[in-house]
Amino acid sequence: MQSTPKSGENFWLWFLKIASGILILFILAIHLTVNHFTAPNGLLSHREVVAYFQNPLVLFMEGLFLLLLVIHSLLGLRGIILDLNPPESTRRLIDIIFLVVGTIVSLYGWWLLFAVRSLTS
Amino acid sequence: MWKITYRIRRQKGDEASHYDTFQVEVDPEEYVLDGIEKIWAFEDRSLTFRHACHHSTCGACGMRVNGVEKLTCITKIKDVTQDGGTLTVDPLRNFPVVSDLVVDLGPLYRKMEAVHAPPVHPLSMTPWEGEDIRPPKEVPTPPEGGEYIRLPDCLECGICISACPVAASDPDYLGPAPLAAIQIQGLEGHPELLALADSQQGVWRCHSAFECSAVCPSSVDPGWRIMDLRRQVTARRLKTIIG
Repeated sequence: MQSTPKSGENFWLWFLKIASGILILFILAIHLTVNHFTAPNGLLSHREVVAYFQNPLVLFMEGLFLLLLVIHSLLGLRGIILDLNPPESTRRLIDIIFLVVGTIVSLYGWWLLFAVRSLTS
Repeated sequence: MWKITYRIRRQKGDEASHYDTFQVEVDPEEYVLDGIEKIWAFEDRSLTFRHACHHSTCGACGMRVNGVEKLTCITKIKDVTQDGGTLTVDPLRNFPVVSDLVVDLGPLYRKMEAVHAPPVHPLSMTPWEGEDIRPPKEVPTPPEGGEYIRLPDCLECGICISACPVAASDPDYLGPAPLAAIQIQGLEGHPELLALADSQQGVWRCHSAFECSAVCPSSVDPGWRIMDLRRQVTARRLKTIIG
């Protein structure tokens, strides 16, 4: 076996995956309660969604929700790819692609949040 | 006596593998290895397999019996088949096949060396197991400050590696037995092993399938030990930021 341990996985990545998973469950409960369980007919209207997003706390929570989902899902997908035992160079390339995709998706999602919020202004 | 069929995977050199079948008369109280030895003695002297102690100490006779990893010297025939039944015997997975049922366990031994797996260790290193194996009263007490020494439970038979789904996909993954050897030594006393345990070959690759614990013939329970090693790594890494 090689003498230097491979650095592709470590405690911090595992911790991020677990912590994001727990936080997703917490925010998902709030999200479902507000958007479906307590909403009339199980769904907020367009006007109610826009009003809901006027609260800065909600904006932060939904933005965090999106970020956590992106992190958790990409780390999960990365774990599956690691099972295929790719070469080190491919693994690094996948890391870069996932970082870029995750950043673009998150930025687009946050832009959408602010776009919805600005509909009343 | 039972009449059973042994279906044994054969492979010599680079040739493609195939199964040979042998009709064998056995006492159901005999062990799977006994039947293989009968085949070698009376049917086919070219059949190769590893065996030595015949009492689950050496770990040489690990094979797959009907698709499940077994130490064949302690697996009774009556527990894995019935009169008129078939026993399919394959070599261990995730190791190179040398010949027929013989695999090269070198990769496992090198990993055990890399984690400094101790050949013997004090009883206190495995406190729970130690409670059950206290020496009898007539054994002299160690001199003051000394400790009783015992062999580790792990036989290095490779059965856990064969059953591990992650070892099947990544040959660099340390695997259950070496990770269990790190856990037994403890990261507190052996911080030099932290980098290896907390790496791509280490504890985080484990999928918690617990196949290793299910097939381990020696009560090592590697799956539980890997989970405990994760706890040790987590504690040490968090300590670096908490102080």
